Amino acid sequence: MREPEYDRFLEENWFFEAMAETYLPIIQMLRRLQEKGVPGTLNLSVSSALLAMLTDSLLLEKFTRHLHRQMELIEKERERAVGNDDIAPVVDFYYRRQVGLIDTWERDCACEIVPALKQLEDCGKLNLLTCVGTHPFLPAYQSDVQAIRLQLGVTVRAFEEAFGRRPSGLWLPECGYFEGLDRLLAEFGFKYFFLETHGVLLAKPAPKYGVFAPIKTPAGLYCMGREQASSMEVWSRKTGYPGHPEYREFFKDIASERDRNYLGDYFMAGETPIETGLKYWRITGSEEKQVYRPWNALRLVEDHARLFIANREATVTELLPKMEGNKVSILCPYDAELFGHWWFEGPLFIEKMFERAAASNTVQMSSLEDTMYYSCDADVHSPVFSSWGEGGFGEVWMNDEVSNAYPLFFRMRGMMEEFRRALVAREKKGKNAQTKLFRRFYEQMARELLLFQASDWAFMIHNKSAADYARFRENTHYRNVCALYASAMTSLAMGRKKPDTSLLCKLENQDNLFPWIGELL
Amino acid sequence: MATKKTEKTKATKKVVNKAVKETTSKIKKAVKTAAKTAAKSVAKEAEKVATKVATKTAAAKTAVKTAAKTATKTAAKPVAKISAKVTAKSAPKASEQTDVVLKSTERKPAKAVKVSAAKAAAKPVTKTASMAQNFDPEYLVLMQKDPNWMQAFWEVSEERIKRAKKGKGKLVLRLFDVSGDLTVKRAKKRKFHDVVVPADARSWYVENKATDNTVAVLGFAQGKNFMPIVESVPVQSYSPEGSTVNVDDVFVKASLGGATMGGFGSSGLSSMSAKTWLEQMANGLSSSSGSMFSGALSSAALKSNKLELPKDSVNYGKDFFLWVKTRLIVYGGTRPDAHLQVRGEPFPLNPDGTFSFEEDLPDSTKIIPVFATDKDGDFPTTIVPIVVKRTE
Repeated sequence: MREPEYDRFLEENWFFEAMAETYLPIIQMLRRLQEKGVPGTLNLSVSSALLAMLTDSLLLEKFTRHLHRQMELIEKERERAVGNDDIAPVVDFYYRRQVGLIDTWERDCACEIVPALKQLEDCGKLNLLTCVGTHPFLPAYQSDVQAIRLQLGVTVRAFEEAFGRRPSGLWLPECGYFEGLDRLLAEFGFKYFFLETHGVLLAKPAPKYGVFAPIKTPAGLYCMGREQASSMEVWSRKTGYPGHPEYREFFKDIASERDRNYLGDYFMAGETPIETGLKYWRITGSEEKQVYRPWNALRLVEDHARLFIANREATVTELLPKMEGNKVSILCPYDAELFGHWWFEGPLFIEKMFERAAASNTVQMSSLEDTMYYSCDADVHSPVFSSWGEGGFGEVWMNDEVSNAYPLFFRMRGMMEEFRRALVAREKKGKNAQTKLFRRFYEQMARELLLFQASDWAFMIHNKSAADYARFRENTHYRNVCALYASAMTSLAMGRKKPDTSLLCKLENQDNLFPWIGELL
Repeated sequence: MATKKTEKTKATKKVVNKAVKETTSKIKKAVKTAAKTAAKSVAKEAEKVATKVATKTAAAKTAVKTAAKTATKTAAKPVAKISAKVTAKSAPKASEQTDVVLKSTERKPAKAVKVSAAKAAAKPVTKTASMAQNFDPEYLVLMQKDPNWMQAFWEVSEERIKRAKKGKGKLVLRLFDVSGDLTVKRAKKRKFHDVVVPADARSWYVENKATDNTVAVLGFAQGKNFMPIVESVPVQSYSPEGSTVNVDDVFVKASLGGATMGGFGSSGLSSMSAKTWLEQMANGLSSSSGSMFSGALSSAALKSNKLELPKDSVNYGKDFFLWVKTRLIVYGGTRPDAHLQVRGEPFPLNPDGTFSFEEDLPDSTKIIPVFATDKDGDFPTTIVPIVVKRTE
């Protein structure tokens, strides 16, 4: 989760990028919409793991520093670009953008993001949902409902802790669902969730309006399926909006074009340059990249937003007469990091989309709270096992390359269960400083177990993107559980006075998420 | 529990090799009685199932047999080797660690694959390490990978397997279909099929044959006898049998990516094989939503118009009738090298830069976004004709 020992760490940089390129620009954008009085609500899911980072004061402090480090680099770049009429305007653009970001972060948000999100929700521009704990692919854990319950418990608790209310909407990791999961979600007070298209289309019995109306599941939750046309318009490699030649090229960062002395230590991780976020080129449509033109991109974004809304209008107009008096609901879900991080102009696209929708007689950008419970299919439908991964089911997270993780998981579960029993037996004889210490061991094992479960590891291995890092993380969390178990169990079972706490203390400081996890165990 | 652990740990203090033996002998003793009773009751149940099968007609019997055979054949996808492979991969990671404890725990997966491997690797190590290393979980879990396949994972000590094996029995994964009333499932005689697995396997793919709920039991099967070792919890397995998709349903087509809107044949479903699934189930979803836009009125479209009873019609029986339908022609032009999209899909231009398409125009409001850029993506331009058709 964080690396207190190192100044710079790649994973931290992912967090900084998400903050500077996605979350802050989205906050800026929603505030502009609010100021302009444009109607509509954006639905945003914030996972427990992300919440843990968004509320980690050390990380936020580092992020503030990061914005200034970027600014220093931009100022150097401005000097460097003097006399270069092609590049100078782009550098100036980044300079002004950075001034705005720092201003938003330090002045408007007071270096905290959660209150800013809360404020946007209070004024109706945002509807906050959440995503399960550390993002486990739940169908893989169908045999272990207690493990799923722990993840869901963490989810609710983390959200409550941050926003002061229980979450009602849940984004399932990878849209992974198996029949009966809704009962577990109901236990934790969730009211609605989302599935990949076929998870709803294949529901038993078949839904009446396809994915265009929420359905009610056997456990009384509401559920919607992703609509494909709106997905493809954005996601398609060939024709998706973000791939347009006018938009900013993601893969050409100045980090790979400047030498290390110029970049300085801050933008280096060992011998590897770290992305600076400064990218001066547009996609162009060929390898000979041309200079990025922010204002032309803005012009294009407006047209893409107009097109997107027109396409939704077409769908609504087509289907509305057949809806038997119900509204047409279209669920268009995307990864948050697509907007701003991958697709630089993405937050502007959302802004323009809201403006277009405001001018439409046919569509509106609706909060899920206003959508899920109304215009539903009248019957109860049982959605089926499905995911939005390649293949549509579990292949990405259950294949020969990645499935070795599951035996390790069940071993850890076994160890923890054995340790828990021994601990409870000891506690019956009386709680004291030592049993408290053993509790800390148990709690840290649970944190490591949760981190092990992130579906991201399997995804990265399967997609061969930073696969070594993913394996390293899996192994590390597994080893941590083994080592914690070994030192605590030896001490507990053999009546040794004190277990070795060096590893425990190190891990408590490093994998420090969910400080209250003990209450859920 | 605690005392047992202490004894176990004391034993491991000596030599690990010896410890393995001692532990297993302890497990033997502990498990012996429990296993015996359990085995008895389950054997009885298995017998019941067997009798039931025996009373069935001979034809049914052979059918079951053949089914079981094919199951075993098709299910023969060994996966035991993967864990070994990955352990090997992860080994260099361990060497980065200087901590003895971590190093030795890292070897553990090797033991999960084969006890002999663990023995070879077992040098005298610290007490704590051997503690984690000797941890012997026992479990069997089922995971569904896709509608066709499930994967079973298990860990049982090799000694345990050796002990359970009596006579010439084969180690099998017995898969019970426990669909229906879950509360009385144990008492019920259940459908099952066996998959023979090698003694050193720790994971196996099995075909999903249940309609709803599946329980797997690892055990030895010999004739009518079945000696269970470890059982999984029931898994709600998905099979497409209960799902129905209406191919011609306008909502289904629209859900999959706008096939209703002028028949732009592309289904945007990101997951191709899921789409294939839908298509198989729907018996040719894609063919029924075939494209009808490119240029001329296709004969297929005409045919279907004739087959359908025209809705905008007046019919006096045999003597006279009238029907009036409308079609919409959309056409335009741009630079021949421009990029054009109609309703979000790329649209081909004629060599002179013109384009056109036509489609049925029932009573409706049609919104047709047309979007173009020049060859470099400059001059993004959107024009959206809106056509309202009404019949009076």
